[in-house]
Amino acid sequence: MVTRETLVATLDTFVKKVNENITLKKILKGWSKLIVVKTKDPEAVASLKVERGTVVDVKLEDTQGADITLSANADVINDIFTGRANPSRLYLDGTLKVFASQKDQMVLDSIVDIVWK
Amino acid sequence: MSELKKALRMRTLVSASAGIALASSDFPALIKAATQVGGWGIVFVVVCAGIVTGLVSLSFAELAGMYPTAAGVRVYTKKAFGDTTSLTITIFYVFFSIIIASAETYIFSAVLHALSPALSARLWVLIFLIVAIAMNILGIEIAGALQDILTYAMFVGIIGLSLYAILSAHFDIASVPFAPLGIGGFGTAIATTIFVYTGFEWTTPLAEEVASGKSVLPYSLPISVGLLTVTFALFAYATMGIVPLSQMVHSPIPHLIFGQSLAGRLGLYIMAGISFLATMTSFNAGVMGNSRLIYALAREGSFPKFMSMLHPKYFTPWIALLVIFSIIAVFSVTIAMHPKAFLVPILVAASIETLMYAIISFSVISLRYRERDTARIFRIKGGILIPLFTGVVFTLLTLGILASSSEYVAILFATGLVLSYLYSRYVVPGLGH
Repeated sequence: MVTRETLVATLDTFVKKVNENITLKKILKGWSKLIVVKTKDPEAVASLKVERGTVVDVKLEDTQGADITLSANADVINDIFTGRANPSRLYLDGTLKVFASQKDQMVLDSIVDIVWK
Repeated sequence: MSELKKALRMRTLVSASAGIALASSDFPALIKAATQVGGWGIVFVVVCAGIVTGLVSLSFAELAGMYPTAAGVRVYTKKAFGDTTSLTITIFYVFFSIIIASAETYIFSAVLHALSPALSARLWVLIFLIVAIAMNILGIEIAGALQDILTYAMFVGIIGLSLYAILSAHFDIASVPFAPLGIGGFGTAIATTIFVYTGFEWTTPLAEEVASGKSVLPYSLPISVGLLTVTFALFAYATMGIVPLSQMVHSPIPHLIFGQSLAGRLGLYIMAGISFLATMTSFNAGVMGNSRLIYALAREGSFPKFMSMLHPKYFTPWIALLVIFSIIAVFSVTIAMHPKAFLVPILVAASIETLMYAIISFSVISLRYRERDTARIFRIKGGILIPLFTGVVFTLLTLGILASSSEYVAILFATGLVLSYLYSRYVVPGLGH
């Protein structure tokens, strides 16, 4: 069972990895977005503010004006952000819902791919 | 609850849906359907095609509300029929999109050739594809307000020109028979006319952008089908009263013939302008959506991994785009070399599209039982009656096109379907990534 604390720890690790990744910094230099992650079972929300490819702020609350919203069960979100699950497969399964422009979806997918390569 | 910055309104959704459907290749498809009836009975054919397509749009609306995803056909059919069947259908759908893009490429190149005959249609095909591939790799999309303006300008142009034709002194519908080929041609003509609606459902990916729980997407789909029906019914009626069917039947650019017959060079340029907008709003969206579906399938493990490579600067799936464009180039140059066969890809696409509409209808029925508890923001009233009706009608329409068209249509259809199945069944398990 994935708890709220596990999710926070997973997100922290993921954010650290993104911010330390030089390849991502280079390719995301013009990418500034607000990402909201929502989970069920347990219900949780996190907002990640990305500026020029760096995650500058993480809040454990909902934020207005999200560019990207991810929504799935907590275990699914945890598996994605720990690199254990393929987000594209889950997306094509309908297990993971992504509300964003198609371009932003692909950027996010490639971030996960590069971080856990 | 967070709200998306770009909340899409009904107007934008309708323009996106109708804009993708309205393509240059719709005009020869419409004239082909008119020849299957033989007269101005084509107007009733368009209305009937509009009604059945409007009914199937309800199925798309219900499914998009259940699974707001850009990979609609993959998700719906996977949930309804399982992985292998779904993958077969999805790959067949990719094949279908490439066939449509090839037909559109050739038809628009024929428009350019008519305006500038110094360059051959084959050369125009290559020029068009080079420009299109550059736009796609750079990720240039027509969206938002500009898309609204261009799309509605296109519809106003067609409707306006059609009304002008109907009210003009040249208009002579009295000498045109209603349906000299008898009622038998109606079914085939309806099936062919379905082609003009192709792509209206491609806005279901936008479900993600409007998935606030109060989406207007389900209601925008039938409205865009209605707009297309009115536009094409008026255009068909106007055309039949201005130009003899025999002058347009073997031409890939009947809309230009209509424009020129109505208003000389000015009419020709207006219709060429409309054709340009039609190709712009449909081709790019179709190819881009298709390349992203291939990207997602490659990331999922259903296509080779190299097809999921993204351009490091523009984040477009450039390898998938190059593959798609290579296949489109082969198909469209082949059509340009055999211009008499330009209707073959249109009829193949119409047969695949009608089959897809049948599958989507049956998916709704299947998911009513399999996914009873999944939340639906829109539910078709009357139980399974409407999806069952459209499922049966579109299956019959598919069979009608295949039975009444040249053998090349059936061969291409069968080859695409069998190869899609063999790939899903035997190649995908071996990809192992």
